[in-house]
Amino acid sequence: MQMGFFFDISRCTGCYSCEIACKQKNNLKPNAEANPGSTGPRWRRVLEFEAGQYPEAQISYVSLPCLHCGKPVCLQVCPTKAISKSIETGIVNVDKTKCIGCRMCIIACPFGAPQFGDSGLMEKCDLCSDRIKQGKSPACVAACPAKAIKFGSLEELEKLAREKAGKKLLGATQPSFFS
Amino acid sequence: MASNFAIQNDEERSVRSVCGICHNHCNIDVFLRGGKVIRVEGVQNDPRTKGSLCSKGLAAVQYLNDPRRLLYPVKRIGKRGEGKWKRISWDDALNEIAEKFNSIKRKYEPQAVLFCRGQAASWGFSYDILVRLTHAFGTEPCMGSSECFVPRVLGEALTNGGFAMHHDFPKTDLIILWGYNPTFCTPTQQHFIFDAKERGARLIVIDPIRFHIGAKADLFVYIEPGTDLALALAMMYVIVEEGLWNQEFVNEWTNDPNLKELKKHLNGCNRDGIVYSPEWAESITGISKKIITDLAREYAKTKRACMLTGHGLEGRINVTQTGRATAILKSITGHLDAEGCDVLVPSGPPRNPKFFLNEIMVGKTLEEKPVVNFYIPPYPVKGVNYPLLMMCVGQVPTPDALRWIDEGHAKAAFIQGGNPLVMAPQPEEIRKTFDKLSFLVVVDPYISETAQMADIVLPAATYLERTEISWWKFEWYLPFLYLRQKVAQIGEARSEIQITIDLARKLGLEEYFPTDDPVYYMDEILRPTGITVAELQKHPEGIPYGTISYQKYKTEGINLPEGKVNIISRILEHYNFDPLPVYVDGSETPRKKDLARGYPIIAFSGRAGPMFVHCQQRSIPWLRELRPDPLAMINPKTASEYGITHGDDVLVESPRGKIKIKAEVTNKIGPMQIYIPGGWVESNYNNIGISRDLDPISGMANYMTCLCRISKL
Repeated sequence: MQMGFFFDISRCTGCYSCEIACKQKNNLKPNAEANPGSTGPRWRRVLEFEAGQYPEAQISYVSLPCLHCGKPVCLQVCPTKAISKSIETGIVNVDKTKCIGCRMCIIACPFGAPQFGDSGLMEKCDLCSDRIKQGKSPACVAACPAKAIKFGSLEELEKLAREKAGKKLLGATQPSFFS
Repeated sequence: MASNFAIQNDEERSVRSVCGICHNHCNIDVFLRGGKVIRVEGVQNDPRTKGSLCSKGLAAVQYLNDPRRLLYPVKRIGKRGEGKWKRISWDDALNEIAEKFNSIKRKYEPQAVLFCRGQAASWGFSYDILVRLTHAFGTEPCMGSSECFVPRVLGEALTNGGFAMHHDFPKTDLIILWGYNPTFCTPTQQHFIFDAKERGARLIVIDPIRFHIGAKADLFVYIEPGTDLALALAMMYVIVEEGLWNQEFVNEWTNDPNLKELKKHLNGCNRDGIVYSPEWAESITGISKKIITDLAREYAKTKRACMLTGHGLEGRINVTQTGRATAILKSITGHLDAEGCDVLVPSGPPRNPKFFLNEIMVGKTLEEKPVVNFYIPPYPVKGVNYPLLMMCVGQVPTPDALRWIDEGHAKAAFIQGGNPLVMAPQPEEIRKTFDKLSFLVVVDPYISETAQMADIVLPAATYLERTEISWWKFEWYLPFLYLRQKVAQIGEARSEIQITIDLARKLGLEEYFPTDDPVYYMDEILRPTGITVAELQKHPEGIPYGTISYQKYKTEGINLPEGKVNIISRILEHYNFDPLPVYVDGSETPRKKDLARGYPIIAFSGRAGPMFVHCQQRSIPWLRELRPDPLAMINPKTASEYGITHGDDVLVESPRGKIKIKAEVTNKIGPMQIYIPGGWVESNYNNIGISRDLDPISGMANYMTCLCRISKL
């Protein structure tokens, strides 16, 4: 089975709940103290996009985690085999004890998912594997005030996306992400 | 009191509690391990939040453990603002405060001591117990009400006899958000809005900035800041002229049958002889007459429609009449208290009237009681120039309290959870006023800008360090009582409730404060509900104290003169104000050519984003990382005219002051405007804002909009 996320852009208002829920759950160290103005690792990133001109401008918000690709290019380029893909869930994981911080993964990833904190080693969304095992939703899914983020198997996500006129994100890496 | 956090255990466990980072009070599960708070989550089966929580609430652990927090009482040893402090014990601090307050009271009068409130101390019981203390002392609580919510609510209450603060999203077909961004204020209820949208309800947002929930609107309407009253009057005009009003409701339940008076008023029979037509409103609001007409028709013709107004309608001198106008719109269209619309709710559980010790207060002459939506002192209060605001909420309006200091009547002040030196217009004026006090006490989790001026600062507990009853909720209202649970103790911080009780006992008011146990007082105030703290401890899921129901006026009437909705406000008439809303500009506008000379740009302020409440949380790393610097929004056209590019430092000047702020060049905002997010000390809108113009009805300062000039630095 391949697990992934569904993101409903029509519901996201850019409130940053998912990003902070993720930081809280994974205890991501902030960086503001050491380097004012900089940020610590963001396993989920809320991005704002603006298109067109006033008064017709369209503003949209996208919340982007690791897309747990079917063919993860990060895994392919990693020289130390620190990145693996679970056979049961399809979740892409990183083993920090093997990572040497060469950043090949961030160069290769089309979505900018790999993050680097103080350790200089790669870290990223693991789809809250531990919470899923306990029968809970990932922290971002649970916290989202607009209920814009869902998770599940590709089949479940496919169904959700169809209801919302959404579809699977296309790409050579086969991202497990619907929007 | 049982302290949950004291149980040492390495197993992860959770305690059901209530968030308190803002005044919206969402239910939370606090997770602990080894006696330490490790995480906070929304309650998954909670009907109101559906398990969600906002970024501020999710940063709880960083807030609780913020190394910048004040951990014990301190006494100032340097000059005011010098930042030199000496640690003192709680006993010494409270003894000194009590001695000073009592000697000032003996020498002058009880009113010479101001007990002031800010938002951060939260509303509900912690406010009620301060009312008990002030009455026992012989005075009234001050401040904290003329600043935002109450002046607008006063307009609604004067019209509809209450504030319809429950919005029936699951049954509505139209949601209008007017100067209101739930992404900031009530994020955990946004799912209701999107569920309604997916059912087919339309979302209309009226705002000067298109962002967050505004970006999701089916119809987004840009409006010039400060002109909402013109839009409301023109919508009324369309509804009246086209006969779209609800005959049954208007004729039976309002004091203007057939809208005879309103019709005349809108057609030019008013002080200025202006016809409040869409054409007229177009020239003021910048909204086309077609959109105004369509908006009015859609609202009036949609039977089940919610209209939520917000902070965007506040901070201007027409605030209460704007609140009146939006309330009239709700009534004449038959939307008031109806299914799928805005529903009247009590502002809390029924509370023991004896708890407030009203009988102690002098001047027992009962003045007409306009509304009972909030707690109201049933007697006039000496020295108050804005009695309507005082009656609506029972707090001495801020301009009155400041005047008492300036004129030398007030000698000392005690400020709980407020930072007027950042949040009030012209902070330098406030500083000079506070400097006249011979003794200032501030209760705050931090040594805030205001606390810098204090003689003694007491460390306030965060919401994770307090056990207290909680009911205050907005937008999707649940008439439930909950218990917020103490799950931590940092330093010597104490809850506002405990501090109030401890101070009262030191002041010699043991007759009214017989024990230092807060539970006694909570049980006392809840007596009419039959619910006790012990029972709430057994029911972490909360206990209902009421129900949500429609059209209560049919059985209970409308709690206003004539027993009807006051389209013509008898109370305003009694106080010599316009009984029907007459248009005045909310603030300075480029349409006033003499004001605009040299200052052609509209500067306006508001909330700082979904990650901050007012001036708070700037030291919480996860939240600050989302917005490291204050950013002023400028339209690309205007920016290029002034040679400003994204990220440039911009100088913003008014005749009253100047600020430096980085530019965010964006199409979210229209040309010739600049949006300066509120609550930033380093780029404080209040430095250029207006402090002297007040709403004559509520005393609200005109602190949201003014004219300015900008230049690239």
